[in-house]
Amino acid sequence: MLKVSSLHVHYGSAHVLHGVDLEVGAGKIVCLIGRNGAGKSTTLKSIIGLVSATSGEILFEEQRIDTMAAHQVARMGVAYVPEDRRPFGSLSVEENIRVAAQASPHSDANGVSEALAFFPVLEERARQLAGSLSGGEQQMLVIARALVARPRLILLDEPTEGLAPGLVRSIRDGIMKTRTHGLSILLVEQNLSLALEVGDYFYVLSRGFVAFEGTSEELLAREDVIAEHLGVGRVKEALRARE
Amino acid sequence: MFVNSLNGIIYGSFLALTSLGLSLVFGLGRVVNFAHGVLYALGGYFFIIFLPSLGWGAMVFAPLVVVPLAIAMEWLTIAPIRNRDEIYTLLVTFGLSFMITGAIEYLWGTETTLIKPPVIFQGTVDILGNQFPVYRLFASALSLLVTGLVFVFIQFTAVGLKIRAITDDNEMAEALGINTRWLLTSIFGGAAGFAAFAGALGAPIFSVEPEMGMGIIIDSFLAVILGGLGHLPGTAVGAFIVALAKSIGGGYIAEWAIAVLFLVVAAIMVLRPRGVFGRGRIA
Ligand SMILES: Nc1ncnc2c1ncn2[C@@H]1O[C@H](COP(=O)(O)OP(=O)(O)OP(=O)(O)O)[C@@H](O)[C@H]1O
Ligand SMILES: [Mg+2]
Repeated sequence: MLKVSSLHVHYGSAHVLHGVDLEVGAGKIVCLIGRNGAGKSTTLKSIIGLVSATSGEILFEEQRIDTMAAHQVARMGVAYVPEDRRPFGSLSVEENIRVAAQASPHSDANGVSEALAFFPVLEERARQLAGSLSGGEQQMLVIARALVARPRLILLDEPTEGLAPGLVRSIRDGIMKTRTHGLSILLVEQNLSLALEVGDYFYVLSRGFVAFEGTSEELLAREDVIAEHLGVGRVKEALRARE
Repeated sequence: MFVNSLNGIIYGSFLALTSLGLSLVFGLGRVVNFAHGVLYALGGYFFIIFLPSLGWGAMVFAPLVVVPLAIAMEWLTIAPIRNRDEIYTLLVTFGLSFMITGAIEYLWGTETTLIKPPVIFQGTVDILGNQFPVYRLFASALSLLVTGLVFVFIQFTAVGLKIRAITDDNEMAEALGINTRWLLTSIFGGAAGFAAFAGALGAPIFSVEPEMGMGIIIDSFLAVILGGLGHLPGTAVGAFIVALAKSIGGGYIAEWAIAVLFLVVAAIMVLRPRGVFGRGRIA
């Protein structure tokens, strides 16, 4: 449903993506992993249309989206959850979700209440200003805000970064729950064990190149790839996950 | 003192309307629109031009002419440089406002025109022993009403919700499916319409002359800064602080009005750098 081919991106004169190819199938959770600065967030931003590609092609459900404005891509059924969360701080929790529902051509009358119920804490906090929520609550809010649009693909950038273990579990459960809705997810995740747990397929990005792609078994069989492109410290984490 | 305060409130209600538009346009698109003042002036001029043929309907018609002009201006000069630093739009709109003021002088001359209020609003009322022109009270009430409607629109409608979301995070709003480009242009047009309406409504009070936009833009900027950049309720309160400081200060020593105004603004900025509600942006 999503196909990225030879994607090149520059920030000014800095060449950040050097021909990235990746695919996300319908209903799949695909993980994009790699070191800091590898270009993971840039890949997601160019898919949603916040960063423009220098060359290459991005197809969503057989349609070119790399030439569209971000709001058009979103309206086609792609949702984006950025790494720094970015709730609308001066809007209430409920307004955050409502504005996303109103902007989407696919949402319906029950959308807002269903999205609030996706993480029960959001229902309790519905009238509170989003800016006053804790980091974990803000993360749940922005995931719910993405879901309310009834997207067919979600771009999820480091949703568990900086969260306590209990909250990481809530987010993971949330991700697993979207599965049953038949949604596709392109997930950027630094927490390798979490990625291995939820992911169907993996791309390892290194300095703007795809250094490796494969299933979790294939990735775990390649200690060298993990050590070189994710960090030596990650090998142990991976070995633990294999058990 | 009493008459000065009342005049301050009247000027404040006009200023609230013009600075609200300035604040909205800044909040939405980080556009510092120095040309907002000349849109107010154009409202006054189109009003006196249409008045002989259209009568008081000119008050509605003048803004309707200014809106498409403002939208064209936004498309041609501001949209192409929107992604640059705010200083670029400030410089461009600064230049535009001098060009438009020049055009006004060329087309309609440099003299000051003061027109009479409509017959039903001529005359005065007695307020605590002071004779006060009826039209001033009427015009002030009307511009407060319009200001109030703008608030209601922003707080309680779907479009208003989108506007508030864009003001918070323009890029994120776009990524959720909101056409921010289109909304910004529409709001620019709307803000211009309200400025032009204020110019027309104020013509029988403040008169119409080519430089009228320059005075109001400075006061509007002060109101927006006082309120906390992009913070709308703060902007409205800021407008009244500016207007009262000016009229009360000017009441004692006329040539000190500006000095008193800047003193008040500076003092508030020192105490509350993020505006009267402490919620606006610093820059
Ligand atoms: N707006 C920008 N302007 C200039 N350079 C940028 C910009 N955003 C990112 N970069 C650079 O592009 C490269 C890729 O950044 P990107 O944010 O995509 O990496 P990432 O893989 O998401 O990293 P992280 O794990 O730290 O989130 C980095 O070298 C970064 O410094
Ligand atoms: Mg990143």
